[in-house]
Parts: sequence; structure tokens; C-alpha cells
Amino acid sequence: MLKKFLMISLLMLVITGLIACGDESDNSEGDSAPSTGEERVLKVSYPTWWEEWFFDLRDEFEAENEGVTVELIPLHDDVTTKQAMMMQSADTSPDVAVEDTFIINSDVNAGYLSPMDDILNDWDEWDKFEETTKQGVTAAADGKIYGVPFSTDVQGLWYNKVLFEEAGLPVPFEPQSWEELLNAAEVIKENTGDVIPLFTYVTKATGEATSMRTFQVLYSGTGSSLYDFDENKWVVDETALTDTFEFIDSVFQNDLGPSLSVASNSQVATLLSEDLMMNNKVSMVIDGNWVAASWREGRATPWPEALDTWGFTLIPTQFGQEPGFTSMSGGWALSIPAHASEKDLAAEFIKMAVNEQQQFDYVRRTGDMTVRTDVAVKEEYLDQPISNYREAAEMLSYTNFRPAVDDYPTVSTFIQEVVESVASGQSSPDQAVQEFENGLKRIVGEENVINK
Amino acid sequence: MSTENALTNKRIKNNNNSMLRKTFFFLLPSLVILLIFFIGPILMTFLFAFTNMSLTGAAAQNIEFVGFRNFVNMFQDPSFKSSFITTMVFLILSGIIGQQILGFLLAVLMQNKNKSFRKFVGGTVMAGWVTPEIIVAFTFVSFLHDGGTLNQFIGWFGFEPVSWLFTFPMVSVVVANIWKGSALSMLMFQSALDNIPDSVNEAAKIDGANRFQRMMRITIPMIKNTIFTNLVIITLGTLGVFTLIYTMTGGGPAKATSTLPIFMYEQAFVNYQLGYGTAISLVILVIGIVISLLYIKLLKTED
Repeated sequence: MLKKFLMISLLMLVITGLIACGDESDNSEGDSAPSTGEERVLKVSYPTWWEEWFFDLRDEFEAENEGVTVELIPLHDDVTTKQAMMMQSADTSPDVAVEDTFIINSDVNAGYLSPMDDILNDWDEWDKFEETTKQGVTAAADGKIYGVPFSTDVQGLWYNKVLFEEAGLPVPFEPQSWEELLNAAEVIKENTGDVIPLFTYVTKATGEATSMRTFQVLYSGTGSSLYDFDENKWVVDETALTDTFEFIDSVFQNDLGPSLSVASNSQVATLLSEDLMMNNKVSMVIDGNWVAASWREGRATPWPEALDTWGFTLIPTQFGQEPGFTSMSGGWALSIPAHASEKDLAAEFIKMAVNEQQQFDYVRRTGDMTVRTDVAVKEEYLDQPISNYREAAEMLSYTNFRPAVDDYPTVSTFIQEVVESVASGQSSPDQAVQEFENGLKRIVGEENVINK
Repeated sequence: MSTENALTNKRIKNNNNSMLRKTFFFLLPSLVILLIFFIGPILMTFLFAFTNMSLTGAAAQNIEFVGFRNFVNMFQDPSFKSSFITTMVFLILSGIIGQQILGFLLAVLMQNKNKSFRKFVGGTVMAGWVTPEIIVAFTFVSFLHDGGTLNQFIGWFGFEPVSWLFTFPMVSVVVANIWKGSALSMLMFQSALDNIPDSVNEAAKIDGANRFQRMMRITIPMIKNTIFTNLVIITLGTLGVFTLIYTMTGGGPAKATSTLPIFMYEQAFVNYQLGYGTAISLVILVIGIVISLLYIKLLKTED
């Protein structure tokens, strides 16, 4: 009897479960179907680290446009992968997508994005955007523009003035070569307690940061480049590669870098700004100019005096050769997917998101650099507390960009793998060069590689 | 007489036919599900493994058949070789040696013990098995990480903390997988051991066979089929372990715990090469089949 009762209740539970599920999917279908009446829905996908900013954008856009609902689609991680999958079909595609500029060219070739030239040519504010950032959103294949940039950054060397003074090193610190960097790290190691002398991103867990903020920052300092745009071929430059890997090797095999358990933490950027850097547990960090933003008022860990402790300086080229310093810049843009169903609304949303006020709001929140020339000259922008936009603007003149070609995303993850195997001691620098050459040829095809 | 016979025969045949129809009818839902979720994807795997399908870039738009290029690339890729070796080490240590032998020992040692003891030990071992994989992974991460339970514990005895997941990555994931999976082996062996008639063991005892001889000559031969089934289940399960390793170590540090499923995931969804990733999954399938055939040959089971 009891058994029978249990069975029946179980059955009921399953059935109600199924019905509930059915209800849910019905609802969501109703939400996402293109509405026939006045109600219009704009779907915007965004990485969750910009949640507050996108909440504000949604509220403002809905207030300005009667009858429009902005449906936000949060992406917690693997942003580019998930977004690429969504953009494959009209059923799942958002109307506004957030694109890392390194993937724009590939996404254009995949047919995911729609060109914005017509929209932007009629827009009187488009000439207020920095020329260099416009290049980042222009496709190599057809010369058309596929996104509106909203952020860029530069990489530099953060150094801890307190620890430097304690170790007897000069402040301000202005290294002129890699050797001076390594020497400073050695001095720190010998003269201060339990401190990470030089932090760099070196694991697969830190993804693109490992490829761009460590490998490509260093590699650009050798004067070589990864891609030859005259010949349209990838470059294997043995000397430059060996020197780059040797730098990483000497940092990690001489215990000048972070332990691998710290470096492999995918949240290490937060760990750095909110703990290690605040508590003098690290003396140098190669990272973006935006690090200081996490110490501003209103963030999780405000620290008004941060810049008395942390200086931000240029990263030298290998031997100080011309032009003396180097940096890498990334960037983000807002794009309209090819399968978007509300392209006009999407264009309006994007224009609003990068207007003068919103752009200023954005850089104030994130510490990224502005892409608008009118914001860049504002005193309010340059003199923001806990920021270093004047130094950053200087770095921008030395900066380099990632090769925006089809194979870059795959090559980049491969670079992360090789860097990790050097940092963990699994490969010597010479082995790493060999691995790099073989892997590159395997990924892009032997005929697309030249040796220098 | 004969007409009656023929009639009965016909009736039986009719009965058989309607039985067949009924069977088919009742099987239909599961057949449809199998077709949609299992056979369909497998066929598609075969198809896509020979293409350059990609998640982004020009190849996302124009999928082309590239013949065996994915497989040629794979066998030239040192990462594939190291992933293959890692997978075998993980399989042998955590699956074949760990889960199989530990499960067997647990079952043997629990035999003929009192009921509450059996319940307690059985329940403890089962805890790992009923816990979802992702939760097991997080449990082990918080147990093993730098400030985790294990380091706190050894700290009481004056030992320095160890970064277990980085110093002993393979050992860490192997222990986690054994903890998670041993219960299944234990259950299978328990029921197999219970099915051995006492009389056989008693007869051997009277003939003067010691414990070890009884184990080798009677127990193991009599549960051979269970050993085989268990081996196959564990092998196929362990070959596919992804969540546990990916959460605990992400396949790292470097490639120390990068098994084939992790390698596949990285190629397909991090490097955006879906065709290549599919080819790797096909190879995993083939490895599973080959190992199962090997077991059949080695154990020469009848069924």
C-alpha cells in the first residue's frame, strides 16, 4: 500500500516537473519571438565583469525608448566561445555583441558580424574616435568596419615604492633593459621577506593575458614581430623567441616569479589588486594601466593612498634598443551580429553606450583608457584620483597590437601552452622554441610560416 | 486433429506476432531517444571528424572535407602523445588499480561482518558515489588547496603546507577519482561474492585449502564475469572523466593532468577547432572499444 502510494506521488512529481518545464520554455519563447505589436526586445550579450555598466545602459536605453525592453544575456566565462556559438543562428543570436578586438577579424571571416559603415558614416561623432582604435575594428578582408570601440589599455610595469626603498633600490624606478628588471628582482628577493619579486601571467588559466601581457610584451621588446604583413606569413624568429623564453625561464627557475599555484589561479588578477598588491606581498607586476581602478572609491577595496605605494612605469626593450620602450594594447568593441533581428535598435544602443558621457562613466568605473579624443583631453579624465592616464598616454606612443589575422586565436592559446611549460620548468627555452616552431607550422600550415 | 493443431500453431504464431508488435511498441520511446541522442551524434562525429569545422574564422563559414588531415595532425602533435600517456596513467592508477582493487578489497573485508558495521562502511563509501562529480571536484579543491583542510591538518604536526594540486597533480586527481568511484566496484563485487554458494568454500576448506588458495582458485574464477563487466564499466567511465580533472587542475600544471577529454575540449572550444576536437573524440571512442576487446580476449569470458 505504502509502496503504491509512493509510486503514485513520484509519478505526480515527475509529471508536474515536466509541465513546469514546458511552461517555462513556452514563456521564454514568447519573450524572444520578434513581437508584432509595439513591444520590441533588444538582446544584448555581455561579460559579467561589466555587469553594473550594462545594467545602467539598459535602464537608460529603456527610459529613452518607450516600448523597448533590453534583455541582457550574461556571459560568465569563455565569453568568445559562447558568443560565437550564439551568433551562429538567428534563433540564439544577440542583437548587440561585445567583441574582444583580437577576435573581430576571425568573426568577420566566419560571417558572424554585419558591417557598420553605413551607420557610422552618417554619425557625426564617429570622427571623435582615435584612429588607432578604428584600425582595430576594421576587417583585413574587405576594409569595412565591424564594431565601435569602447575601451583600450596599455601594459606597463607596476612597482612597489615601499619595497623598493626597503631593498635599497632607486625610486622612481626607470629600468632601461631586461637585465635591470631582473637585477631589481634579485635585489628584492635577497633584501625583503616573503615577497613575489616579479609577477607576470604565465599559465593557460590566465588565458589571453599570458599571451598578450607577458609573451607579446616581452617579444615586442626584442624588436621582432609575430606576423609579417608584407608577405602575409607567420614568423619564427629563433633569436627573439629564445631570448623571450629565457627571460621567463630565469624569472621562474630563480624563484623571482609567483608560485605556480598563484599563477594558475584564474582569478589571480583580483587576488593581485585586492590582496597581494595592497599588502606588499609583491614588488613588481607587468600588467595593464587599469589595475589601480580597483582601489577607487566605491569598489570592493578602496585605497586612496595606493599611488603613493605603487608606481607605474614604461617597460624597456630588451637592451634598451630603439625605441627604448614597448607596450601592448588590447581593446573591446560593440558589434552587431549578422543574425541580429533588431539591427536599427542595436545601432542606437551602441551609439548611446559610447557617447561622451557614457564613455567617461565607463573609464571612471573600469580604469581602462578612453577611445574618444574629446574625453582624452578632459581635465576630469586626466586628473581622476588613483589613475595614471598621463603616463598611459605616453605609453600609447610605444604600443603594439596583436596580429588581427584568422589564426591568431589558435596561435595565441598555443603560445599560452608553451609559456606555461617554460615557467613550470617542463621545457627549456631551446625546447620551447622548437615546440613553438612545430606547433605554429601544424596550426597555420608549413607554407604560411617563414624563418628569420 | 490436424486442423486443430494447425489452428493452435497459428494462434501461437499470431500471439508471437502480437507479442513482437507489443515489444516493439513499448521499446519505441527508448529507441527514438537512442536514435536522437546517441546514434545520431555518433554518426555526426564520424562526419565532422573529417572536416575543418571551426567556431570562428573563414572555416566556420565554409566547412570543407579535409580527409585524414585532422588525424595526421593529431599523431604529429606532441600534446596528443602526452595526453594519451596521461590518460593511460590515470586509467590504470585510478580505474583499474584504484577503483577495481579497492572496491574488491572492501567487498571481501566486509563479508560476514556484522550488519551495522557493513552499513556504516558501505554508507561512507557510497557518499562519494552519490555526490555529483562537480561537487566532488570542489570538495577536493578545498581539501587540497594551499590553505585547505589537508594543509591545516598537517600544520598541527609542524609540517609546512604543500601545494598539493601543483606538486602532486596526478596523485591528487587519481585519489579524487578513486574516492568517487570505488563504491560501484564494491557493490558489484558484494553481490557477486554473495552469490558464491557456501558449500563450495566449505568443501574446499575440508580438503585443506587455505584462505589464499580459496581466494585464487574459487572466489576469483567464480566472479570472473563480474570482474570483466566491472573492468569495462570502469574503463569507459574513467576514459571519459572531464569535470573532475578540469575543475581540480584544468589539465595543468603545464600538461601534467591533461587527459584526452581535456585535450579534446581545449582544441574544440578554446582553440575553436571543432573538426579537430571531434576527431579526437573519435579516437577516444576507438580506444574504449580496443581496450574492451582486449579485456574479452584476456579474460576469455563466455558471455
